[in-house]
Amino acid sequence: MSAPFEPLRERLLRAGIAPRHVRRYLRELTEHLADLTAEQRAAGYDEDNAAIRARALLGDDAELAAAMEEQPGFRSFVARFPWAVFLLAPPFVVTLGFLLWVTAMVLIGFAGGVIPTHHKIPLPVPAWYAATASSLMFVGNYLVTPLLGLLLAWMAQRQRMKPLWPLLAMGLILLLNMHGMFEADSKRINIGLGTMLTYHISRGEPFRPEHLVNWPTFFGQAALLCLPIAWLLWSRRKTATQA
Amino acid sequence: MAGGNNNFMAGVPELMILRLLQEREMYGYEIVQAIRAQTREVVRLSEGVVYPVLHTLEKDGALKSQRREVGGRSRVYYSLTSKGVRRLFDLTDTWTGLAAAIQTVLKGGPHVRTV
Repeated sequence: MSAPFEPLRERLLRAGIAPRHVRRYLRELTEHLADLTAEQRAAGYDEDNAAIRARALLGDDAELAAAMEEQPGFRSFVARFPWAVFLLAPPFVVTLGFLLWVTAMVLIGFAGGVIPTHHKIPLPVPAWYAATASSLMFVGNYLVTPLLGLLLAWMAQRQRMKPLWPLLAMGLILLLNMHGMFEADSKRINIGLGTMLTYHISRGEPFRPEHLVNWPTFFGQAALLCLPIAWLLWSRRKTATQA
Repeated sequence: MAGGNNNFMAGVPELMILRLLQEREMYGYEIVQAIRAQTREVVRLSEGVVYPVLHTLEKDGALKSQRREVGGRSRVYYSLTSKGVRRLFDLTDTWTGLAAAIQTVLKGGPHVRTV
């Protein structure tokens, strides 16, 4: 629909205009161009000349882009605060994911009677509970991390941000995972300070690879994060070719 | 916008759009044609630049829009809100005062000689 405006679209996105505003602008420009072309045809110009004259009346890309850029409030949050989206949000999301996981395990434990509510006698952990914990850990490690990476890559591509931002974000996620992998100690019930299952984030000392908790998990996540990076670079190349 | 100093023309499209929409709802192309016709082409717009102004006015609550099918074409019609009416009155006052002041200067009013 907006093929004549592809360079304008790229320009606006790179200038930080939110994609939804760009979409709407280009749609209305396309409709306006159709009206102008019809007007020129009615004035007696042939198809080609009518199209050229209509495009000239609409304004060149520089004017159309400047008109949008001058208006306040059309820039996206990602464009205005990339550091918040790509540097602050990922640690927050990873931590939130961990807390949700712990909450889910505790709720499942209570619902399934694994965690006693009144008596304080240690109970053996049933196999189904251990399997559930393992499954949720697997999802956290091998699904949530690449999905988060993909989300960041998609946001960067959508706003034509420099690939450096999502790359930094993914590096940060890996760094966090390097020093705080999801691990559940579901083999015992802690009755020291009350009835609760003990969960913890295993920590390695910063920047000491020999203290890494789990190399296979780390490399698995790194490999999975290569997928959104590859997608981002491919999309960027495709966009550049089309422009 | 062509044919003028941008500083002097700032705010002109907004004022004209609000005034035109006070009479009836219109879509972008209609608005530009109306501006062209009513100003006898003294104010000439690169026509596409009207949309960011419309979108900003809508974002500010001065306009509302509605997409409609008319004659087999889908168009976005804009209309004035009560907030838009107030904004039109404010802008009209400002511009009327400014135009009067400029006229006075052009005619060589008394305050010019006091400089």
